[in-house]
Amino acid sequence: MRRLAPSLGLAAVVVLAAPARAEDVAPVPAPAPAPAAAPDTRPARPPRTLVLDRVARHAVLVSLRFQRDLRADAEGVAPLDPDAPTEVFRRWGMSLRVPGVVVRDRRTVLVADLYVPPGSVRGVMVEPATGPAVEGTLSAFLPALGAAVVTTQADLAAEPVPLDGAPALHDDDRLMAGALAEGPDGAEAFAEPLSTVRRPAAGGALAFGRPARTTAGLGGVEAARTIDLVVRDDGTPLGVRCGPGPSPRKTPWRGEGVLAELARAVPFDALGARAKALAATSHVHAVRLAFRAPSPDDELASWSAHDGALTPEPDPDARWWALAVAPDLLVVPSALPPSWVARLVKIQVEEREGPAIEGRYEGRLHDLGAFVVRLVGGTVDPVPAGRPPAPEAEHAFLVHRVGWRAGARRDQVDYRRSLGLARGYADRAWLASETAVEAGSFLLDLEGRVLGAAVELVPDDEDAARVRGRPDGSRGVVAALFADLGEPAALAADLDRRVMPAPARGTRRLPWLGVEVEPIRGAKVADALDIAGPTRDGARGLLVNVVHAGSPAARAGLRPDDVLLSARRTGGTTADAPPVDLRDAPNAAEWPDTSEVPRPWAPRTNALVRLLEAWGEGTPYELEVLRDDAVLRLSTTVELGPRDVTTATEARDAETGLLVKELTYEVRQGLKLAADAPGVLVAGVEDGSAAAQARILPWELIVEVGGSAVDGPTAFAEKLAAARAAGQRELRVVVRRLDRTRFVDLRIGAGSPPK
Amino acid sequence: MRSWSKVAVVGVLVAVGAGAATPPARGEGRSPLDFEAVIEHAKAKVFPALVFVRPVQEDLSAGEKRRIEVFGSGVIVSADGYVVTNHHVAENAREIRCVLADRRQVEAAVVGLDEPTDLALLKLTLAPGETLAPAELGASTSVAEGQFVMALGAPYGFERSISLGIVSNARRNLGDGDRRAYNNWIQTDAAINPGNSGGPLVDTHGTVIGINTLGVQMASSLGFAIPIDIVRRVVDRLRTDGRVLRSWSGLTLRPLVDYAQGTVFDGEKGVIVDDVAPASPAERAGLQKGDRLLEVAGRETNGRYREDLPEILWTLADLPDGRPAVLVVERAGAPRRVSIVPELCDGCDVSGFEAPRWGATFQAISRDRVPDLAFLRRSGVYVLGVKFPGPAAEAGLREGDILLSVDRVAVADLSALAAAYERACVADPGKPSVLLEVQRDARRTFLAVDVLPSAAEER
Repeated sequence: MRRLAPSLGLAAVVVLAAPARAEDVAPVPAPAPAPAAAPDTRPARPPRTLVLDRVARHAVLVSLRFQRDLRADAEGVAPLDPDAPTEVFRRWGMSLRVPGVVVRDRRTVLVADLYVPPGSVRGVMVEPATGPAVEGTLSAFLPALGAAVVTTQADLAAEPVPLDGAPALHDDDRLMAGALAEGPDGAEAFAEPLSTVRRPAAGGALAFGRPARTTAGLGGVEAARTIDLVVRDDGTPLGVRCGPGPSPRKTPWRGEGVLAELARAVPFDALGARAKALAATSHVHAVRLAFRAPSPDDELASWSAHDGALTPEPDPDARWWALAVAPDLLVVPSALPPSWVARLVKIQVEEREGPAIEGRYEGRLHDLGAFVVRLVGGTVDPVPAGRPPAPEAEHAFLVHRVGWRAGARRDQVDYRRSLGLARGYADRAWLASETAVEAGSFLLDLEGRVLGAAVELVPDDEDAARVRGRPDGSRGVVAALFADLGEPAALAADLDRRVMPAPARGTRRLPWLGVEVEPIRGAKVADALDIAGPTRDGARGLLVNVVHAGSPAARAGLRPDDVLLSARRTGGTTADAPPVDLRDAPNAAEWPDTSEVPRPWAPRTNALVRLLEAWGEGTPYELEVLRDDAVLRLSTTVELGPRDVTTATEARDAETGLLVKELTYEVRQGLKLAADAPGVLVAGVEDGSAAAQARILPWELIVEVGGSAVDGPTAFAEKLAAARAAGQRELRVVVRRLDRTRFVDLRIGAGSPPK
Repeated sequence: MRSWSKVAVVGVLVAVGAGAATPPARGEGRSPLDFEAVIEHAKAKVFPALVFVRPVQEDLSAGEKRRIEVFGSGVIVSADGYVVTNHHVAENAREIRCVLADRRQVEAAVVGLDEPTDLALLKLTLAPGETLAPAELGASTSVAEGQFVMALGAPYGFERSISLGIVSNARRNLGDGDRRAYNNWIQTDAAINPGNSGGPLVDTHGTVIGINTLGVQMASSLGFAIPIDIVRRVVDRLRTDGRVLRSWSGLTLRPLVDYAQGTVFDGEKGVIVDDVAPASPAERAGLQKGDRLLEVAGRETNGRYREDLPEILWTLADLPDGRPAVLVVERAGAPRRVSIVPELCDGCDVSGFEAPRWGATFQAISRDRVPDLAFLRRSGVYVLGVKFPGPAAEAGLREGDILLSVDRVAVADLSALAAAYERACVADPGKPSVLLEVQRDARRTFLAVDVLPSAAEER
């Protein structure tokens, strides 16, 4: 819980001095050096009253009365943190009293950031230490100092802090920070020493106060947020402190800096105007996802392993908000549960004008709850290229949230303050923010350039995801910044494609390179093979086992024992994408189901094929290949592969209960069959059928029917038909399992003669 | 049992009174006067020859060398202490203790093993000049369905047990699987349980007509014994050679009428060639699947039913290896003579290799033991077992992986593996892991297995 008001009891309770007067107080001359007899060689300290007088002259208490944010309620924007104190105040229409400091003129008061929507503040009253209270409004926030501005309707009795011409600061100056607070007898000024806490700052100078505490993530921080007037112990005002600690370099707390900041204050109205502008011109598009109905398999997949809860059903009317990073790429900074991904059937990107554009699911950003959509039916305007720097500590940035309510898009712009960069979570630097930012929001700097998005951290490594016990594996919200991730357009280069929408039945021909590969299994193997450097300690690398004749790999000159390191697109709309490291899970090439008959060929979908599929047929690309300690670059193009066992031609015979398929290239290679060797692959045997009774098993081959070789499924069906037409009830077939054959007399039934 | 005697007495009396030409009662003219007495007499003849066999086997299937105590039965077949038992009782035995019928404990040594017939021959360590009372071996021709038999042995360790039953089927064929293709079996409902293996199946004369070997776990009263003729054939060879030499031609045979597989071929003569193994003598001789094998070295091979196959297999196996033999086959109606040079069937009893500092055990690939692996790689070494937990398990090594190389040096057989293991573990003690190249299905990959320090080997 944030402390909005300073706690009492820190400093001694003091009685207010005589009423402050309007004239400036000149600095008291430094006292004469102490006589030699005194052990303390420091100059005698000025009385504390000097500081307190100063504080009482310039500090005020600001009362905010809250109301329900009717506008936000109307827009259905839910509060981020329903238990935050400001939320509680809002709901109950309570009021809050925070300290403030009068600066620049008698109508400008600085308070610490409150992060409440301006629409929820019903009224503001500013109360000086002495003198009447004056009404005011929350008018603006400062871009680089953690303060907001209250503008009063009449002059205040308190004076503005004289901040121009601030004196030089010496290392052994004693600083105090003070403000007004509620005491038992009314408002009281108090001050606490700052200079007891020192830390080294850049350039050899000393800074005062505790260092900024940055925590990873965009979530509730327990730093005290208040505003203090910083005064030297002789009563000289130096500046204001809003952030965790004044630093001579980082924050403009010194006098002239504060005034400069005031000149740059951003009015709250500007946020609303910005939201309207973004609604019209931003690169954020609405994405609609269509899912098919769940099947029993999906149910099992959607049970969360963490707490046994069922993943909820997706809302068909929901809009997902995506940032266009390239003419054909959109990043959606929201997490999609894997069970939903598998059920995706259609993606449409809605435009303000014109028809919706069809899109395709590309994959998930590694370690983040964000996914990428590739447009296939058109293009959009992308965000300008560039990687704006992350905002420094205490600097404000904008949060752009888009919602969908009552059939219309609602844009909302808010501001947050950075706590600087924090390291953690996959050893990357993440932007830390003082208060919660909702995942799915877009982050902009004050000039309106897109910095990135707020996303949930969903580690690739599922075991790590379980550690925090959240059902979707999320470990909190982090900011994904282009400054850190790279060029926006490059985001789609290296995606996690392990979970993809299930393809339409049997129609999709997969692209191929034409190699059978096995991943390099880790650092120890890479080291033993002496390829640790190029494979980055075994983090990438696919060892080539087989190069299929006539394939793109063969034409490009690949050989067995080559190690594929990376692949890079050299053409297409996002052509300047960086290379994608080639790697795969160690047991990805295993059949998910068991079978009595061995299948010495691997499934066709692996990480390499999925990457080629994402790039699309015809995309030229370059492979980085390691061969005998040398790295080669081989160019080739994405081609569709020949039919494989899932897309092979087939024939089904109801009478015998057999489903047979042609022998495709990978089956032939695994079974060591020549390209023209006859036979069909038994792909299915119905229970209780004639074939089952004859003990024919799936994945065996039928090589001869009725004494003659059978070339393919069509020939198989024809032979059966011919035999039936001739009145035969049984056919002798030769069944082959690996390299053993046997005779089987198969009952083919009476059948009816062909017409 | 007294009622049995009464019936018997009555029956005889009736037969004699009627003066009818009654066929002679079973037992060569001996009338079944007193069933209990018959049983008692039979038992008394064989009991002294019954042995409770307790080997300690070395087992490598779990990824490490384990010593497992097993027990079975055996029967003394000669006065100087030869004992017949099953191969699966005595295989891989490092020591064998036997308990004789008079409760004496005697050590035994393995004289010979024959895996295809699941038989083994042991020799008891007797004092010089000591003799024992052997059992009398019968003849398989006289075994008929319905006759009373007794199974002697040690079911579940209860030694010196007798169970009684009949011959359910005298000529049962159990297919061409491991350890059962070379003979037909005597099926009996005398209780045969684990522990009976290797014990005698005895008829009412007290002669041994079979060696109890198999039972069906889920069923009751289904037990199988090896007929005594086969036992004699094998034991004679084990006694002289320590093994049964067989030659291999590479033929898989199919009877003319095979109800189990559902195929029927015409005619009365010959046996069908179902499969010719690649790179085999039969393939080199030009034999093909579908050929009808009529003669082998002048002997007719007629296999109308499955029960006819074991004898044909013996004929083929008895061909002298390395010397051409003439087969007569019929193809497309025309007979032809084919000369075949069978090879010696080797790789019968390879004990495997343990790599304790890797946490895995290995075995040589052979088409009989692991046909699926032999398809991938005709000869070589495969992983028999992986110890869990252990460095090989952690590296991802699995049972059934074919080992291609160790530290980039190819491994063609177990001795090459032993040398590679020695090099990897002993020669370079500072090296923390060894690089194994393995083949799994059609995929070839590298695994890095940590090498445990040698202190871990001490047990």
